[in-house]
Amino acid sequence: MSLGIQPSSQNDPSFFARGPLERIVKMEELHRRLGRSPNYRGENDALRLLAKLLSDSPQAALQGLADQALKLCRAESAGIGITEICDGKNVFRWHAVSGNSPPHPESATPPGFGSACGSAWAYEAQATGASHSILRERKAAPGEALLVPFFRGAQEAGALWVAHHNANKRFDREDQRIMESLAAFASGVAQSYLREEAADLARRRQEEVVSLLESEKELREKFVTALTHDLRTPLTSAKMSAQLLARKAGEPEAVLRSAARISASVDRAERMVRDLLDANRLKAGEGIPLSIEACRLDEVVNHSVKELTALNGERFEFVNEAHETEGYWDHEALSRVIDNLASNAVKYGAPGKTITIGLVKQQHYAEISVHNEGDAISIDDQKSLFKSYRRTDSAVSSGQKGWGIGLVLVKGIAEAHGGSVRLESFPERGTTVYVRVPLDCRLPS
Amino acid sequence: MSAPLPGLGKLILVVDDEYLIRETLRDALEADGYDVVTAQNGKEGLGRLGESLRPNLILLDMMMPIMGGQEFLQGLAQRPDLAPIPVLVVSATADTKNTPGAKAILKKPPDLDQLLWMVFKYTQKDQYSPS
Repeated sequence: MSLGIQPSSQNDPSFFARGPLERIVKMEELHRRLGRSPNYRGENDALRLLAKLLSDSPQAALQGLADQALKLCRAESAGIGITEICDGKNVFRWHAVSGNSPPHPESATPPGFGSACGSAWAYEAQATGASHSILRERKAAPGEALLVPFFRGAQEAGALWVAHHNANKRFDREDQRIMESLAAFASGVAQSYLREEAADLARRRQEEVVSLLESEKELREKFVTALTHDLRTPLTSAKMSAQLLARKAGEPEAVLRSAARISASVDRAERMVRDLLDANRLKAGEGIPLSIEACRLDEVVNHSVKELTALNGERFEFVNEAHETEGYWDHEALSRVIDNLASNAVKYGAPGKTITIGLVKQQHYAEISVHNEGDAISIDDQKSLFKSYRRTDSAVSSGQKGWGIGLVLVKGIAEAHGGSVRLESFPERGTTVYVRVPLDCRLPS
Repeated sequence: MSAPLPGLGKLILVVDDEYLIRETLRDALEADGYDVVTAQNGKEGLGRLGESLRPNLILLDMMMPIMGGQEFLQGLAQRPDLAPIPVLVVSATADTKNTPGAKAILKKPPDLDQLLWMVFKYTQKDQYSPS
């Protein structure tokens, strides 16, 4: 069954109230028109061709349907649309157009008024439907459209349409017969098409899952390698220093130096273990537990700079614009923030250049900054910087060892304090990370 | 009278990216009388050697940024004047496949006595003597 529209006909006015269809040519009118004699041969050839196209691909058969409808109905434009599920919603999508048609086969619209078959269904047009939008969107002279919905069981599956652009041309009974024959075929084609699409989608999803799992596995392996390697550094230093201590027991200066190195190494190993545990907490969606007390941030930074110097040499400059900065924080957690940022600056900044650690105080917050000279971090890399176990491409290619959790921890600790982190990186100027925390993090931010 | 220090008059180049390791090795070697020069990576190490530094022995880490140990060893092999300098690899990630030309490999963390014994052994006159 099919329905035609004719923009100028004066038909049942009740249709106007029901949607955007401008004029409906009832089927009786189509039947009243003088029909040309049936073109069985043309229909037969078309169906044979379509069967062949279908064996190639359902998409080719859909295009063939539009082409054959155009040809056999001697129309100016033709098209076929299918309803499908897209992001959980039922949508109607043009899959093929032919002739002088609007080039929008990819656009999806909700089925209903506004789409050709949607209009037809809205009219419960077992019969037939057509939408003025076919003509309007094409910006063609108003002509007549003939539209045939097709079904999958009782479900609307799509629509095949043809349109005249010339107001003097009309469809007739033969056009209707041909279109219904093609539409019956289209129903099968649409089913094959959707099945193939679904299989494609399932295959793509499966490939995505496999590749995700593989990349997770690779990340984990790299992480364990980096972790065990990094732990060996403080272990090596502590073990050798302890042995040296035993050999130089009589030399107080050597004993003190070795003891300090053992202590710094053990601290470092301990911090690595804690960082790892906290990164896992964050990954599980838990916050970092803090123990808040009154402390002075300038003293925290000063102490960190001393420790960093013991581990990395004289490379740090503390620029304190805040002087005595009193507040309520977890001083141990904030010293880990400084340690992580400064270690990154040592690893990825310009070798040997001074790393500047800044502190400023405002009315309600304090801000720690760590600046290093060196190459800028690309915008792409900046996006993944704060994701756990993800090391940026440039971090990996630098040859530096890393676990990919330092900045995740920095962000986690800042946020646990009700604060925030931001990063600025520019060529020529280098990279600065700013960590802002409220002066009293016990207060709601 | 204590015995003369075994390292007197001998120069060691330590190539390691970790400040902690460099300085610990420096302490241990200097305690035995060696002179110590350090470099933070392979490139800096080769640069030092290019400046006519001729150590009696090189202690080399493998996994370093900018230039790792393997590349350093390859660079050394290409220089006939530097190739005879003995290299002792001290690394967590070394095996004989990626350490061409190295005299021996010590896994981190190394035993200090063993390390100093090897350093002593490879800095004896019959091993290599920089001119």
